[in-house]
Amino acid sequence: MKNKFIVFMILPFITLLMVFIYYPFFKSIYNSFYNFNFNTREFIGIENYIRVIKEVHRETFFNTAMYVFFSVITEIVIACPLAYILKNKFKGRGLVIALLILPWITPPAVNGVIWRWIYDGSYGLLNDILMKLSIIDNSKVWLASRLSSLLLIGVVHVWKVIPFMTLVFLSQLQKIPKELYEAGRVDGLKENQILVKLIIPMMKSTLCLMALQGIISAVQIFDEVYVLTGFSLDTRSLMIEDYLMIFSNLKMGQGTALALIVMTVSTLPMLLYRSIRIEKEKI
Amino acid sequence: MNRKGKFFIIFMLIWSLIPLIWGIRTSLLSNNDLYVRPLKYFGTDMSSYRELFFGKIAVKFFMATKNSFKTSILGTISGIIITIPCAYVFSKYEFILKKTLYALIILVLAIPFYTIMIPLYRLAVDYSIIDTQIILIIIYVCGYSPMSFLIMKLYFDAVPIELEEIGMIEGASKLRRFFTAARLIAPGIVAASLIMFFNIWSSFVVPLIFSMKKTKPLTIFITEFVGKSSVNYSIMTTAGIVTLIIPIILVCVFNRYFIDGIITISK
Repeated sequence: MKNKFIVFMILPFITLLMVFIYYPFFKSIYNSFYNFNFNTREFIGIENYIRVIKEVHRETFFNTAMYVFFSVITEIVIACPLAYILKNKFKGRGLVIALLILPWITPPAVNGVIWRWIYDGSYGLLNDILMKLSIIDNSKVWLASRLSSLLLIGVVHVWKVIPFMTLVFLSQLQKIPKELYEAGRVDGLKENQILVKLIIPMMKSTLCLMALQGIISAVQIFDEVYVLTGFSLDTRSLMIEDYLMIFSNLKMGQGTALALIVMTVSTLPMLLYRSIRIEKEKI
Repeated sequence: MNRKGKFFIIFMLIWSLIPLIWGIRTSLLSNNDLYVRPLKYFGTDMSSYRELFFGKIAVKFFMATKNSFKTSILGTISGIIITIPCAYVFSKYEFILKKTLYALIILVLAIPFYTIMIPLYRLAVDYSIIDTQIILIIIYVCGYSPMSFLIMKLYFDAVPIELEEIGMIEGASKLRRFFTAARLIAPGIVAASLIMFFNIWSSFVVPLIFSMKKTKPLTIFITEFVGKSSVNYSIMTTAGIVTLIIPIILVCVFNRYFIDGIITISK
């Protein structure tokens, strides 16, 4: 009776996941050993993986690494202190948090469209501000040079991710009992020392988790790049390369292999970390 | 809060809001006014909005809006309905394979869409449901509801077990106890629905591949201006702003639930 009830409650969801996530997923792993498209299919072993490593444009690796490196560091460097300040109660705190969240709910495609008019070479806000502040003399076409466009696309991504990270850090900070601060003060620690000696060590696991989360979302960057610079090789991310490989070159086996490689590399650290935590948690 | 803190908050507010405000400004200028120096910082020109709502592209625009609403609402409702019972059982019952099944649900969050895209595409073609709401909704429900599951499970965890026991003593049926608990976690359901709705509303890659024509949502509609010879950026930005307004309204209305939900996930 009890078992019937449980099966009845969880079966629909589990079945759905089996059919539409796990079946295609294992099918993809199987496919990655074949040279295939919609009509033909031929077993070639790990050939796809070898070809992918050889044929993927080296630039895309570099670009993605740049996005990841830049975004993760910037996100954490900004989100941590922001959360630390928001922890204090002050007038209008709710409104401030509500406004700070807006970038996170902006759809990435819209995000790209909006930033285009900030980065525009002749009529963008960025040039205008920099020129008014006399930092540059002539307007620059930001999205034309490689390094600056990588950086600026990174900024768009960071802009979107920061609110989420801030909220996560904030919720963790709020869990630290007040007594801890008081104990620190009684022991004669200054505000800065409390932060370094007490708070940061307690936040270590959250920091770790957010860095891993940041890596995953930056490795899979697609929408912002697609909207701002299209398929240009200078800014192409691995996921855009993958998309092109599958849909314009129709190399489906290789595309699948690349997607699997990217997934493994980007999520493995997170999985290891999580599995340790799931072991500890009781569910 | 000291002065440095205040300064930082104000800086972050400006940094978060300027792109949005600049987007609104762009949508309120006519396309010609965009190419004027010195830059116009304010606009009151509604022609882009008029064009979008009443002009030649209005039909396509309303179609895209309708599609966005349809998939987001239907996807969210079906995703939530299917995960509430699951979340409840995982929170309140013990059974065999519980850990394995839990891991199976959570692991979905680690599987990127790209890795399952081709078999799904094939499946959709074989059953000729490509470019229909059905396949989109299926993908969204599968991809995004593990997150809703997680949120609602955490909310159910917070419902005291004594409530279950009282229900049991009073002889309430299992289903009845489930509905009682579900009513108690209404805020959690709202939070989970919002997050799911935003995810679907923003999705881009899925419709880029699975919507050819009939089911194109707003996110794809916006970017379609890019390929054409003379791009009307003013209208494009206007469409972007309109797409953004729906999530903003929802966040304003359900602010408290939303933030509560995000905080719950991070625990």
